[in-house]
This record gives sequence, C-alpha cells and structure tokens, in this order.
Amino acid sequence: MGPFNFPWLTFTSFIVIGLSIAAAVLWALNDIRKNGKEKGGRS
Amino acid sequence: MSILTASIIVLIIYIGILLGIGVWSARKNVTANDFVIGGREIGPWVTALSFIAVYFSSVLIIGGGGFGYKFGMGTVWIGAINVAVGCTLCWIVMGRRVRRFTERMNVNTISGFFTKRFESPEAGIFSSMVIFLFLIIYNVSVVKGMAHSFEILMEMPYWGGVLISGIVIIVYVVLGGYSAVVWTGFIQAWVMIFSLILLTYRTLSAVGGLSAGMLKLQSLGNEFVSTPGVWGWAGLVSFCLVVSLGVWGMPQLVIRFYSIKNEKTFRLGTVIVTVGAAIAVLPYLNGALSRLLLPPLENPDLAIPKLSSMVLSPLGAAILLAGVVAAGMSTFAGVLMIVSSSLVRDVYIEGLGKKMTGREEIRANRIVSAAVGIVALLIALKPPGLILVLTGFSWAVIASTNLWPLIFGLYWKGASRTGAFSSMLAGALTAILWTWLKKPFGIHGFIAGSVVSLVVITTVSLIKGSSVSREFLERLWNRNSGRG
Repeated sequence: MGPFNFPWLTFTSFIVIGLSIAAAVLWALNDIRKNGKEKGGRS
Repeated sequence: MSILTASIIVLIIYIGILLGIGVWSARKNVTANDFVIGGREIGPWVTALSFIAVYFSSVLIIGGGGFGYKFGMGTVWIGAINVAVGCTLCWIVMGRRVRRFTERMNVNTISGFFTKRFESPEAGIFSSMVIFLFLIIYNVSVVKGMAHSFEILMEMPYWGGVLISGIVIIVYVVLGGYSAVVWTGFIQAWVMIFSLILLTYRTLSAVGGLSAGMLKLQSLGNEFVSTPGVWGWAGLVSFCLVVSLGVWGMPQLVIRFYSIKNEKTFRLGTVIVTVGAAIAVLPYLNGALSRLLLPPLENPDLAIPKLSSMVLSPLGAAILLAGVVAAGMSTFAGVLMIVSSSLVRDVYIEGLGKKMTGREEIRANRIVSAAVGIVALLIALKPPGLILVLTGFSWAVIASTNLWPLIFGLYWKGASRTGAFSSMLAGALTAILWTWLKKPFGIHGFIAGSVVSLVVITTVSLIKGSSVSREFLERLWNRNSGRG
C-alpha cells in the first residue's frame, strides 16, 4: 500500500501530475536561460 | 435557504458577470483579428485558464464523476494523463510553434493554417466543413449536458435549461467575440476550480478523510481502488489517449495558441495550465468515494449531483451547479467562435474569394455565430436520433482530421500538400467508418482514424515530396525573425 492507503499504481497518477508541474517549471526556466544566452550572444 | 433559492441567486449574479464581460469586450473589437483572436494580445493567465475551461466541459464534472463511481479510483489516471499529455506536453510541443507560424502566415483560423502552410485551399475547405458540421453536433451534446444539470440540480424543465444557458452564451459571444470568450472562460475556470475543491473537501470530511475513505472503498472490493480496476487496461488506456492526445487536434483549444500575446508568454502559461488542470482528477476521486455515501445508483451520471446535495450546503451546491454550467458554457462559446470564423474567413472570404472590410467581417462573424448558436439550441431542444448517434463520435472525427496535418505542418518541412489533404480525408472517413462498424476490437474511432491519418500523411509526403516553396518554409522555420 502507498500513501493514504492507495495501491501504488493508482497513487502513481498523482506523482505523474507532480512531475508534469515540475516539467513545466523546468521547461520555463530553461527557456529563460536559453533566451538570456541568445541575447548575450547577439549583443 | 433552499438549494433552489441559492442556485437562482448564484446564477443571476454569475450570468450578470458574463453578460457584463460581453458588453465590455464589444468595445475592444476594432479589426476582424480583434474579434476572432483578440488581436493576439491575450496574457498567460487568461489564455491558460480559458484553455482549461474549454478543455474540461460539463462532461468532465458530471461524466467524470460517473466514471469514478462506476469504475473506481483507477480512473484518476484519466485526469493525470489529461494534465501530462493534454496540457503540459501539448503546450510545450505545439504552443510556441503555432503562435509563430500563424503570425508569420497572417492566419487567424485553424483551416487557414492548412490553406497557407500546405498551399492547399482544398485542405482548408475540407477542415472547415468538418469543423462546421461536427462541432455544431458536438455543441448539441454540450448544451444537453448543461440542460440536464439544470434539470437535476434546479428541478428546471429540460427546455428551460437549454434556453437559459444557450441564450446567455450567444449574447456574450455575439457582442464581445473572442475576447469575451476567453475572459468569460477565465472566470468560468475559477468557478470550476473553486467548486471542485469545495466538493472534494466536503466529501473527504464526510468519509472520514482520504486514508479512511480508501480503506472503506477497498473493503467494498479491491477493484474499486486498484488500477486499471473494474474497467480493465484496454478501456482505460484507450480512453486516456482519446481525451488527452485528441485535444491536440481540437480547434477550439489550438486557437488559444494563436491569440497569446507573445512567445515568452508560453513560459508562465505552461506552468499555470499544468497546475490549474490538476483539478481534472477531482471529479473521478469524488465519484469513486461517493460509492461510500450514496445508495446504489442506476445512472452513474447522478453521482456528483446527488453527492453535492448530500455533502454541500445549499450555497455550496449552487456554486457547484454554477461550476457545471460554467464548464459547459465555456466550451459552447469557444466552439461557436471557431465555427463562425471558419465559415466567414475560410469558406466565404478565402474559399469563395469575396472581399470584406474589417467592420463587415466582424458583422458577418456576429451574424454567423448567432445563427449557428440558434441552430444548435433548436437541435438540442429535441435532438433527433441521428444527432445523438453523431455526437458520440463528432469529437473523434474532428481530432482525426486535424491532428497529424497540424503536427507535421509544424515540425516537418517535407509534409506535402497532397499528403496533408489525403491524410485529413482518410482520418475523417476512417473515424466515421470505424464507429459505424461499432468499434471493432473495442478500439475508439479516434485511435483508428488518427493511426490511418498518420500513415497516409507520412507515406504520401515521402512519395510525392513537398511542393511548398523552400523560401516560404525557411521563413516559417527561422527561430529569430519576428520573435516575440
């Protein structure tokens, strides 16, 4: 049994949501970094 | 205060806000681009939350709860895949390219994208026709969902629900155009989020908390808590694909990428849409737990309405009704905009070569959206048997037609005019035929249609080669020219 008495496979669905949020944040941060580098390279 | 009184008060306030937004947005429409895509000036919060509002129609709250009740807790996976594939991945893979390409090609409709990107008027017209026919049918099912919510929660006759919800939407869409659709969608998303969180909090309190609820649910049978549970792998996986990958080809969602302010806006937008869409698991969770509180139900779709009248105060139940209606309204309004702009711009102006000034185009859009809305309402008042059959697969046909030509149009320079058009034709026909054959092997029409569409666009493009000019493609693909 996983947290809150969920079977692990069912609970993994909530982990997928957490990972999606993390992926969205990391993608946005990476884009800001890439954009900064491109601007720096052009100036 | 009774549920009925509270519902009337909440709905009057809510409808007043929606109509106010319609009047306010009307003043902002100067050009046709303003009316159809908000002048490409919509910020990340409004874009992301209106995306959620259009994605999750009333079908999610009522139908999702019904699925949870019938098939158990394993259905929370549907919500999770909606978030990961239908929102996060969709925004990352498609969002920015759709924004960039459509601005460079100066197009403001989905069909317009196909016409210009593949230099294929036939692909644009075919896509318009599919959108026109099948989205009207899709809207009939949305109105039906809203009217049934009024019927169940307010004891209102079915026709009353159809007329109230339909007329309010038509008025604010006709007045305010796309800006009204996204701003009302923004409000509607907050109503949905708040009402679902409230329902979940009250349900968890009623079952003694999540851990206790899960133990009690397991005592009814392990299949009510496990994955894939009662449904089985085939059913669960194919449904997840249909409602998550299918949205990538749905015009009322893809248009949100056209109208966002600039490419940088996608960063915050992607985070907001992912966090906000997490509410998609709540109807399934509540539906599964409702089995502990409700007597056995013959119709699983009654799980959420019955649960809300049991665990919520009259005001809370009224807010949930507003959430259900909000979900349906935002979807209906989004679809109305897509159908009218597609008919006016792609069929009348581009297809028939008619000339119109900006003002005339706005007026034409208003007339067409009112007409299309009224037709959908009239059909919904007494839907003929054929319409009821068609609503079941209208979504599959639209997604099968648009999905691969859209993705290949954004990512593969070699995708050809003939490849795109034949892929659309093959995808639509397969989805229709597959459903007519009663879904052989239990496979959904969208899956069959999109697999055939994928094979056709790849094969035909490789054989025929792209005839689109190299210079035009280089201009589209160049990351730096005109980047926002």
